[in-house]
Amino acid sequence: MTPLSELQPALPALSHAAALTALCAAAAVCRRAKGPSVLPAAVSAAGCLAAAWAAAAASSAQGPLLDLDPAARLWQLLFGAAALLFIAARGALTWRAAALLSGSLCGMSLLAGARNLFMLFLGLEMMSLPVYLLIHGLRPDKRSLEAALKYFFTGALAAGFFLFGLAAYYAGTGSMTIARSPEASPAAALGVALMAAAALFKLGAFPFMFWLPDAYEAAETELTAFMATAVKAAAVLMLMRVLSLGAGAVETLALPTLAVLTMTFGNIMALRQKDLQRLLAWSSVAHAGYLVAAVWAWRRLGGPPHAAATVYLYLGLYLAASAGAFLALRASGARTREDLPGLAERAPLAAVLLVVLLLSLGGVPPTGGFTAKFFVLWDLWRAGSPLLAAAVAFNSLVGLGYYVGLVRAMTLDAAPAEPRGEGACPRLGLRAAVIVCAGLSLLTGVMPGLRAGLEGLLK
Amino acid sequence: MLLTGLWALPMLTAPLVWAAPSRRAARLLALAASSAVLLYSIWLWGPFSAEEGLLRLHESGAPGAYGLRYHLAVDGVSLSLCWLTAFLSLVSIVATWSDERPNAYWAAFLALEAALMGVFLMQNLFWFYVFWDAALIPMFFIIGLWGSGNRRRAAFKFILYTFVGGLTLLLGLVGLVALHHQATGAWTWEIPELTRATASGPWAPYVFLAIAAGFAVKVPVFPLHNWLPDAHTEAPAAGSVMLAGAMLKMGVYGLMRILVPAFPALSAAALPWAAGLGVASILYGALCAMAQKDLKRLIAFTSVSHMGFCIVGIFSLTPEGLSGAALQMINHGLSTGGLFLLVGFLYERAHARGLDDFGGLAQSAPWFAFFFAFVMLSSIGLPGLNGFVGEALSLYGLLRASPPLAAAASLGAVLAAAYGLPSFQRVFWAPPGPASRSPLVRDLTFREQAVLWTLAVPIVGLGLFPKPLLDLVAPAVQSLAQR
Repeated sequence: MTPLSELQPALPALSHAAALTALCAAAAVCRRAKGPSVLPAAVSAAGCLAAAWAAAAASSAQGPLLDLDPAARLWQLLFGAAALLFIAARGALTWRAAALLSGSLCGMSLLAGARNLFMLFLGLEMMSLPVYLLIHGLRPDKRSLEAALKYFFTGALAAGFFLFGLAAYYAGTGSMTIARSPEASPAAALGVALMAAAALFKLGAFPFMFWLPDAYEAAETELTAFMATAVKAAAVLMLMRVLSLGAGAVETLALPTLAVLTMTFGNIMALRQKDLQRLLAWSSVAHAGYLVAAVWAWRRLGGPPHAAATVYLYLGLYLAASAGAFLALRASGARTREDLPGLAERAPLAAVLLVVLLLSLGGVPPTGGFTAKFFVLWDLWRAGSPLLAAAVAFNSLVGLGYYVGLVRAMTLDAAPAEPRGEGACPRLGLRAAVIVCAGLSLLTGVMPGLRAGLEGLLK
Repeated sequence: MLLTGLWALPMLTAPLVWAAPSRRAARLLALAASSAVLLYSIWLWGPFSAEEGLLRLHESGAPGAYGLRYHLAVDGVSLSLCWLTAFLSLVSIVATWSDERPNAYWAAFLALEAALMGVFLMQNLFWFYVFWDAALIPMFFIIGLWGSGNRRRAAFKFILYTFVGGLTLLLGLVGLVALHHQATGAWTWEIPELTRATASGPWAPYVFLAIAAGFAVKVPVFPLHNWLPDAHTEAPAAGSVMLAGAMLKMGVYGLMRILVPAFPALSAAALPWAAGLGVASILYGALCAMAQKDLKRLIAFTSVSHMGFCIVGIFSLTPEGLSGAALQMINHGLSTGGLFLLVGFLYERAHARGLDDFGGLAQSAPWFAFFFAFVMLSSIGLPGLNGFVGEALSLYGLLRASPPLAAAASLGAVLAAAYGLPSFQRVFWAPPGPASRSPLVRDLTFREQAVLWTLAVPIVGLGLFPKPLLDLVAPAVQSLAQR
């Protein structure tokens, strides 16, 4: 084994790290250029592309701390896609913002490939810290400061949970490797429960979701799209890794309960929101509930790698729909429900795209959201829980109450005399990103074969 | 590739219609596409009758994992429903030709036609469900954007109500597949395979109920009919035609294609309940229709009543009852479609549709009166016109299965006369009301008459000579009755 091939499992993370180093150096050198420009964004994007290429080209590279298993590789592609959407929508970034983005991605990359719990923790923290800074940095006002601080403190709490859980687990088993532990001890079970709680914190699942609407509302919309997709995907993977340690009671009792509570609470809160970004934030809590249910079904089916295809499919299709919906809101300039009436007349194309994305979030055929939800329902039936499947179906219905409500507001309701809202954002990259997301959401709606393909990739 | 064309042609034309440079071009393109679909569907009869077997013209993609394969086929029942859909789509487009509608309106009708075709063609549950729910979206916009006064509320109610039904159905369908897996160890979504084996197990009654409820919302069966009167009343005329004429058939078709063959024992056990609800729909719909003051609402409630005959026919599980249900689907599509068109023409002229707004129209608009009487008589089941055949066969089937229920259901035919004839009398013979004096109320134009004559041909034809249609559906009905 040459030294270079030993580096192979770290190559995606190293690509982001290279971009990070370059951006930091440039930020130090170009002190004059404070404003955002295309160049830093391009450097960050180059890092993403290199990482994606490294992840796709790697062939089961395994090191002592990092292991690019198929799941890790596929998740890298999700992170890259979310980041590229963010960069395309944003167009220009400051050197600092781009550096923070690359740093966060580097953390995600480490988290995805971690083979060791401590590495997972490092990745988690490296992913999270830049995001707190970006929330305030991209939209520097009081609200974002408050939201960032709130997010930071809850994030620190989650880190504490994780570290404490890690210590308990190590005390119980004497190992930090992510693999099913041979013997079950109370300390190990406690450790797994605490680490799973940390993952649920990051995911924004009940009862750890209180920070989420504030952070999602106060952050710049493009950043919210990134958080709602990439950070969430990372949290789901983290949950799956932790659960694969062997979870016992956490898994059988807590997870289904929390899944139902999360989706119900998120949906009910979303029903009442006026601010659209906050509404989508609560809807993302509901989706976190569906994801937890999917993860639970995966565990119940024995947790083979290929069966995670449903979770991955849901994440991917949710990424397109959710990021697309946030970006479409940004592009249309609508901030509250009252800004929506008349949108279909002012901007027919934007309205159509938003309708497709909202229907996909609601899981209505023929959109990708339906394909994803269909497989979640099916997995739940197969895992022997028709009741949980019924809960998911019932919640989809509550969700449709507000998604279709938005569709109704922008297509059917009478337009006000003078247009409200911020006015449309003409940025080309933003529009292209929305079109790509909506197109994907529509295309994947009639491709049930996707899941089988993913299964093949995850084997 | 024969059958794919039926849904792909309107689906691919819809975006083109939307993007058409002018309203006129959009209209013309929609007309051309829907005419082509109708001609094509009729032409399909040739290849269809050249084949043997129950399901014909099979067309399927790669098997794919979990049996989620793209699979189309038709039997007599689905082919006749495809004809109905294609015919009513064309009729809707021609009937509202002179309304100045935007491009999206015509595109929505084509999308709706495509989705309905998909429902009637698909032999795989996944695809069946995709089209089932996708059909709601164009209808939501048709009601919500181009309906009358209270359209937004009606559209919202329509889509939420039917989504409830849709998700219940989805849960049930997934359950059906899971039951099949428990019994055979194989994962399949193919409707022919699922309905060949009999589903059983402790969960079977719940799955049966979920699927039945999902279809019953669409039919609609009392007491799940609540969405229908509002949706019909507020939809534009052509929207009502498609909703009543073709969309309600999705539910009945689902019962015949999936529920009854997959659960023969449970269906037989459910006879008193299911047929009881069918009879309740017949009577309740008719009684409500008698009490209506709005002509469109009246027709909407007659739909509830007439679809009740389909339900009793199906759950009688006799060949007569099942053929009656299959015929009643077509007949109801023709006659209720015709009635909604006539009310639409009237509303277009007078912007009123209350029963007491009119009166004396028989003098000023004789052709109007003729067609209204003609279609109304077909709808209430006058022997010699199409409605009679389906209702009589359904009732006969029910009589063989449960005489007391049949006696109750036959009251529906009496009640039909009690709402049908007075409504005609009040609109056309009573002393003229406020809307009748409007100078806008004139007789049918040439285009409107042409549309109604084309409807009249099958109405009389199926009334006097239903044998070809009966022969067409006979194999499907026989195999169902033998389950």
